[in-house]
Amino acid sequence: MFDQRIAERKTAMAETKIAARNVQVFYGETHAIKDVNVDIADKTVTAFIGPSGCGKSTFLRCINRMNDTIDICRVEGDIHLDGEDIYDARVDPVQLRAKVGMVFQKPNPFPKSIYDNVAYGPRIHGLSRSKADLDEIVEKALRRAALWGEVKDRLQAPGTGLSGGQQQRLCIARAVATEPEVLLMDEPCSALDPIATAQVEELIDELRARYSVVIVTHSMQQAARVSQKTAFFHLGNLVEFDDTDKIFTNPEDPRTESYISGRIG
Amino acid sequence: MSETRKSLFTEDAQTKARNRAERRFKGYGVAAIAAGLFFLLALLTTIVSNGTRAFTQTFLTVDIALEQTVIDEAEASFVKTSKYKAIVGAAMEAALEKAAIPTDMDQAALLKILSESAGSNLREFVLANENAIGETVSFNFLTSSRVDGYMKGRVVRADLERDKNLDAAHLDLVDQMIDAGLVERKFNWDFILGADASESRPEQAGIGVSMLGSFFMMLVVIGLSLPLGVAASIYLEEFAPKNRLVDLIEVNIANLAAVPSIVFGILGLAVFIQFAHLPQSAPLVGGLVLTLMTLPTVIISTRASLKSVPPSIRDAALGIGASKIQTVFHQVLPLAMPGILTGAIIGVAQALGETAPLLLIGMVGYIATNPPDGIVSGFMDPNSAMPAQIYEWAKRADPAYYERAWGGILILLAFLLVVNLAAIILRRRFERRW
Amino acid sequence: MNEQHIASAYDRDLEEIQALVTKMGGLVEEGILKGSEALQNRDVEMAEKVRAGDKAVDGLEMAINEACQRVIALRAPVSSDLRTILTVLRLAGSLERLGDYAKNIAKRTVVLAESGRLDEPNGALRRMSREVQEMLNDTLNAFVRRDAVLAEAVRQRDMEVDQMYNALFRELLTFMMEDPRKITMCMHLHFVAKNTERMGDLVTNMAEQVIYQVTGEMPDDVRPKADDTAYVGKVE
Repeated sequence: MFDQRIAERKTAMAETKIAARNVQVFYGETHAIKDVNVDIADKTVTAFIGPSGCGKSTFLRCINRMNDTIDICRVEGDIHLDGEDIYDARVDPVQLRAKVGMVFQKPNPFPKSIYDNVAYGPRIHGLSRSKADLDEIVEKALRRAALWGEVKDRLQAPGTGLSGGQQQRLCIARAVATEPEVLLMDEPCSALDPIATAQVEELIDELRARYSVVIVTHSMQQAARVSQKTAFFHLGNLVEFDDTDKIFTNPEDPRTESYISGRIG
Repeated sequence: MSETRKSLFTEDAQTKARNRAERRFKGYGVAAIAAGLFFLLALLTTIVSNGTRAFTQTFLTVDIALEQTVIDEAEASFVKTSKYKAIVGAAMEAALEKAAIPTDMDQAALLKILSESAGSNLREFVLANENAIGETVSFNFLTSSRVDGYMKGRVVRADLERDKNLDAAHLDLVDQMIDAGLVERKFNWDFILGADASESRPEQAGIGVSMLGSFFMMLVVIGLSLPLGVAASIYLEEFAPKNRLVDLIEVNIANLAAVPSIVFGILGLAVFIQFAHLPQSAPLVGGLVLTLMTLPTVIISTRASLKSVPPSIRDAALGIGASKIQTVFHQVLPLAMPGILTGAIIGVAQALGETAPLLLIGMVGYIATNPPDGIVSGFMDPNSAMPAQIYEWAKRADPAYYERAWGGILILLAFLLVVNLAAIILRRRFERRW
Repeated sequence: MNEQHIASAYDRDLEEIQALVTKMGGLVEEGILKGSEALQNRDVEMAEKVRAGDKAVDGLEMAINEACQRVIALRAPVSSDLRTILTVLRLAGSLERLGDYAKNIAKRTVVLAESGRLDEPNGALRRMSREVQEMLNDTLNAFVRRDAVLAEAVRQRDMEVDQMYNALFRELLTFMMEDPRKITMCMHLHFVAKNTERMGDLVTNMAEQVIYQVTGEMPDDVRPKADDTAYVGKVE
């Protein structure tokens, strides 16, 4: 019986969802991300860790082309989602972002009702044909975000009236409402207290049954708790990428070892 | 070995000096506020005390029996108005007799107590109410502005020594009529609603028509400057590329807000009247000129509001897959609305009180006698605006007009108060909720 | 104490480790019982099985160590979770040594099978083994149920095991003095007895560990010891 569980823990050979090859990112003249090659698996939580300014958030934002909104930012190399290059000229970033959802560091619900917050994405992407459809989509998303029970009888209340942890879960519900395939999370718990953090982490663990989740975190402990694979970034380079328990018990690269044991900043 | 430790209970020299400086500074602040309040109070009292007098006017109440024959005779005559005046004069004599007020003035002299408009007022009434003929109707006629001035304390007997129309005897008679209840000061709706009058008849002058002129101009200003200003601002803030040309445009827009308003008047004259051949003195042209003036204000305040929307909202919308336009119109604009509305209303309120740009397009000198009779004519018929009207009144020699200028100012202030209240209410309705 | 962690995976990890410990404990208990039976009946086949079975016990100890290492690295346990992990590590170590003792007893059974029997010591040995096995069983139950009272009771019972060992020691001495041909057999039997007594001590250590896990403090009062064989023969 326990053999089964151990096998479960070893990362099954999950398919690659996002393949990055030789990715470079320039901010004006500064070479921010250098030669990153990484395969992000489907139905898995992948964590990006590293000291401040190492480029993990920048690389995350490449995956849904949010860096396009910054004028001086230039991305080179290939990033493939399910085999398709997302930086191809034929790809509309707006459409990409319906498939690759993002949750930000500070919870940022729209100043509208809870219902409208979750319904906004499906509305603008035309995912529903009727009000009943939309109601269903909203309920499904709120359930997936483990928020339905707490808000089902006040869907018209403003989204900004919820507590921090609830707001972040609302943002997660908003992101999953468009049925994305990938969820990007940029330090989603850094603005939350420990209980809310634990609840969001448990939610992330549930979400990986359905989505490929990539989470950037400055807390190594969070990466250890929540992810199956971890990538360590340092000064714009991807230093090591491996199973989480290997990284935290016996990493290959001395830089990884130093960072994890708190020997470098 | 003892260390001298400074007790917390004793103030050291530095703290004392600092506290003194702070108290002095607070004192300056209070003094400044007090000075400001003092001047504000002085201004308000002056305006109110001078202006409220314009809202009341002296009326003579007299009963006139409308006899068919007399009226037919008056209609048949060539000088209808003077015939009607005679009817009024006769009625006045009768009233005086009834009140037992002895007088040795003849009808003509008596009529001098009334405003010149008495006769035509009676005629207008008769023509409008044919079925009243045969009855006795009570009329309120405006007294002449001298009598009015006397009642308001502006005119004293000494002033009338060189007056062509009235003299002290008239005033004595008026006193008696006041005692009898025939003459009294009443609230004058015509001041608010009526048209302006000629120089010689200040008692008839009203601000109503120029209010309509201002109103139509404001419609043009709101209708044009809001959409244009907001659209331009959105483009500059969200979509315009960041290059030198756009920077230049932005700098110039800010400068436009500081351009003297009379320059806009010249521009209006050149472009709208001489080039586009729009009718002179029309509220449409005035509105266009004021739009040009208000546009920079609207653009600047809209940009400030747009900038104040936190980027996290934009990020969230983009992250969900909204395009830039969707982000702006669905998320950013509703949040920026309070600021935009406030800026727009401030701009409109400013435009309401502008006179200089209207100078050159002819709305200052022109005095409309009749209110416009339709929407289109409201825009196209020559008219003036309230500030222009007030300026015009202030220029005239008759002190009665001077009083009316103050009254006009009161009305203008009331307008501005309403506009500002609208701003506050709208702002609270769209309150920030993030 | 019975509340779930918000992260359910954490609970699953801890349950898994606990399951491994109970499994290991079960194997060791079986080893003790079977070993005692084999010795009693001089059953070489069964003794071989017991000896071979120690491999599984060692394998489980490695698995438990790995699992605990993983939990420490990934979860950074604190408070009761930390005590649980530390207890598990020590329990696993103790169980492994228990397994080794059982293996050693099984090895000697093979030799003893060739010599004769001595009834009295066999009965006593059987009783000792049974006592130790029951103590182990109780300790493991105390661990699973977080029952400090039960663990404390186990601690007290070690005295009986010690007393039984004392008696056995003197008895074997008597046998050896009576009949020098029996010395080999008695020496082996003595080692078996000694091993069993050591097993009793180990199980008592485990019980103290369980008390630590439950209450957060190691019991510091001296546990009752009755082993005075070290003093046998001292001139009084």
